[in-house]
Amino acid sequence: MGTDLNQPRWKRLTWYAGLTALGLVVLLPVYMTFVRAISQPRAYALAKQPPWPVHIEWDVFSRAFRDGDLGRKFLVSAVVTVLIVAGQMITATLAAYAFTFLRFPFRRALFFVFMATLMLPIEVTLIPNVQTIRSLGWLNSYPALVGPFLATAFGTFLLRQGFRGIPRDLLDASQLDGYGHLAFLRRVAIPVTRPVVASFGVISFLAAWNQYTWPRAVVTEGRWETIQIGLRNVSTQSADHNNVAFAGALIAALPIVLLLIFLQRQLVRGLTTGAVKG
Amino acid sequence: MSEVVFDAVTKRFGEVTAVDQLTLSVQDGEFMVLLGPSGCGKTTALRMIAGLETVTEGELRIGDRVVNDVEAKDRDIAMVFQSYALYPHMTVAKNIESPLVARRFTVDGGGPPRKLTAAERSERVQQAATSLGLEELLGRKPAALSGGQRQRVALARAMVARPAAFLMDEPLSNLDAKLRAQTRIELVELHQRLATTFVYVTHDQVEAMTMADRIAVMSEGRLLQVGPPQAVYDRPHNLFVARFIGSPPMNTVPGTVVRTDTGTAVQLGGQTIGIEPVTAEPLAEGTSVVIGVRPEHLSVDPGGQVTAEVRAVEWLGHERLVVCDLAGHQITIRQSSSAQAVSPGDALTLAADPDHVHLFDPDTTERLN
Amino acid sequence: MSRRLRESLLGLALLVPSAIIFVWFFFYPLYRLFVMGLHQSNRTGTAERYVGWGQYSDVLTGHQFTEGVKITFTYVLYTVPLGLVLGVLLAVAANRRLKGIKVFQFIFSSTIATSVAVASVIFFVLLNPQIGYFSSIKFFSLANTDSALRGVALSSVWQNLGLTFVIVLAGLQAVPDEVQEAATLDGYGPVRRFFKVTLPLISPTLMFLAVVLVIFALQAFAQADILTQGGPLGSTETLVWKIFNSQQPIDQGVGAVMAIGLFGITLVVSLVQFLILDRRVHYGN
Repeated sequence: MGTDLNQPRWKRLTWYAGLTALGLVVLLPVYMTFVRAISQPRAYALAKQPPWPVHIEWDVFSRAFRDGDLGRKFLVSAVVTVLIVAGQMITATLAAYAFTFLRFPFRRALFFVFMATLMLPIEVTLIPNVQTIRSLGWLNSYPALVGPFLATAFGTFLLRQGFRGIPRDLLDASQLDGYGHLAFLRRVAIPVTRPVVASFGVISFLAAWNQYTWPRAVVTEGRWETIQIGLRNVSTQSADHNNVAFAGALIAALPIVLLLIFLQRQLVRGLTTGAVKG
Repeated sequence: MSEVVFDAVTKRFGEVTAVDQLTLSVQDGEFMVLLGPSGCGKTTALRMIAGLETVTEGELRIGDRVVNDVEAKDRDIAMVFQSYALYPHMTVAKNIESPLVARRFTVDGGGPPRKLTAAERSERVQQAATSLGLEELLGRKPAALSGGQRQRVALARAMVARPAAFLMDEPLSNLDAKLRAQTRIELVELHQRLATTFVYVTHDQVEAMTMADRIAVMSEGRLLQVGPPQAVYDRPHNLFVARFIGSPPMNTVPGTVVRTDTGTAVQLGGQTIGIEPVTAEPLAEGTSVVIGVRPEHLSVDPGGQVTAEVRAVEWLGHERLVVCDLAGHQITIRQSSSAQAVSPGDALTLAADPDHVHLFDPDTTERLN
Repeated sequence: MSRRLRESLLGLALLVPSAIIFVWFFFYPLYRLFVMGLHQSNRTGTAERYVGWGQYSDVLTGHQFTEGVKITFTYVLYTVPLGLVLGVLLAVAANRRLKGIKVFQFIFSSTIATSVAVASVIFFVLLNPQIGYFSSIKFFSLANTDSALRGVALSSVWQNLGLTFVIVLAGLQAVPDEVQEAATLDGYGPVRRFFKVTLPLISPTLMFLAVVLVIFALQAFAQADILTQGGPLGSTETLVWKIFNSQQPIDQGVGAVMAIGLFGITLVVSLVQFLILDRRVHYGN
């Protein structure tokens, strides 16, 4: 679609008005959270909860780091996310390379089996997995937080699609140039499929940072909480201090907002693969 | 020595036979063109030389070595691909350099093959780039180059390895007509300059005719004829080659042998042509044959033996192509523009140059004379 | 070693790292689930007895599971249709060539940046019975058993806006201009054009999105954990919530069966997607 820029002025203004209204509705929840975060709770309540900040306390953000131990949680989330993204990049690249360029018995069946794991969300296998973690003594540790997510069927699928798109002639030329598998992967396969790899990296980061259920299940000590599960204490905090928790939520969303701003193209591409044909 | 020898080489892909008992020797320093329609096996044959396809049966030799089991990178060959196969993320310089990075070469006058030093690589790259006029483009990426420039980069990349044989897979097909003609000449010059064996695959018989020292015509996996362009043109060994080479193609008309008082003749739908076939055995009466005559070897001659009716006249500026109907079959005559004009509907009496009349067996498609 | 053999070994070797994770955390646990479902443990987990397939039929037909299914399915019904409609609405609105449209597109996609936890905190601000800004709206009230699930669902609908917007927009942009122009020439007004031309063409995208949203909804947990803790009176105890809270040894047998139940439901949904989408690819385009 796409309307002509030369539409009559009133029509264009109507569109702008409508879009602005929709935008405001979409942003309203975030706005209110921001208002509540920077408002001093008691003063805000006394003012009968207006839609604007009351008695602004900008230091709520630094207080979140201090009191809520947000710094530690942020660190845990960051380490977990980096480990997961790195792990997935490695395992998915190796697997996708094998599925695309190498011939071995049961290749098609094994690919099918790999993809089958998409049917097994961590929510389903929660109980036995937690039991495993417990029995290994891994409760409250990085291995527990990271383990199940070091491999990814989705990532393997995405990267395989990317590798398959490499023109046959390029493979032949590399063979003639004497590139072995590792050299080919490093010098040709990955650089040529860089957009796909980047998109996958962004999606992987997003999913890892935003995780809730699994960390919730394998963490029992506050020290090991990720920033996401740390947010749940919003429901236990007293009404006098809960603006700190609200600030914490905004901080928790910040990295992904930055991702959205700077890596929007890769993000969108990663999300829309498979959704739109052609 | 850089000859390439196919010794009864067969290539099968499952049930399909792509190359059938190919026996062909490409001489050292020769420009050999593998010519044929798509699917005839020429590209498969080329890829077997490169080592990109394995040999199912038979022996393939490069130089004195049997290379059936030798890896592509160790065969001392270089290939120019139809789509150039340039690495899109590397600069022109890096593209040209790429064969030199991982492969080993015999330098040091006969020592064992070794990797080249950075200085040696850079020197070769400069040399190749300069000889093809690419010095200005070394820092660019393929996306910023024109089709002709990319082709030259692909050539430079092949040259830099100083191979015993150059393999080319339809390298001109992605160029526009004008550039194609120009590049044809440049390739022939390059071949003369390098004095290395070239094996060139194409479906375009004009390329084959203008560039080759020898042409190998293939169809359905088999080698039909090999020889210098003139020989293949003047004496095609079978109907396929006769029809494939030459543009416009040779006129081929079926007929039956009859015995006349003056000798043997061929009857074509009511008309009789006296011929002097030189066959191994005299043809029996009633044998079916196919007569072939090229358009340029037919002329309008009141004393001629056949009559044909003009269907259409195509004027090309320097010459005319007159399409006629001869006893239900379509034939084409080549005339110079200065010859007497003809129009559709005219009846023409035609004579054929007796030295250029070909006879073929319709069943075996083999040449009879 | 022959080249073939070396290649095969290398291929399999490259799969090993992924395979280890998959077996350890996906396939083996699945097997364990089936086994656990056949057993019953004591409170401390020191003793275990075999109870057989009877436990499966008991639990799958029992109150706890069926309640969980009811709540989860209701959650699907609350979040998916509305999510799709709103996503389409936003995408259609923002799919036009106006100056500054990119700003609006950014705003509409911005909820992608929110995790379930963040969205839940945001809706805590809006709907919490004590301090929520809109806590007086009865329809979404988290304090009543009838409406609590709706309130929780609202947070998901909002959170999904970004994702649905991005995907539907991509689908819309893949519709060739010529088709729209042909329809306009045929005299179709914008509304008719949308329903007769655009909608059918983006339906594969919408169906894909529907399945994604359903699967999200089936896995709903954090929202209930943060906003309502499953209450009031268990009215927001989704299946995953119930499974999560069955980790004590004494509950594990039942929990395992419920997890298998969830697995079955997810499988059926995915299969339906496969069949419908596949059919579309064959008949459509």
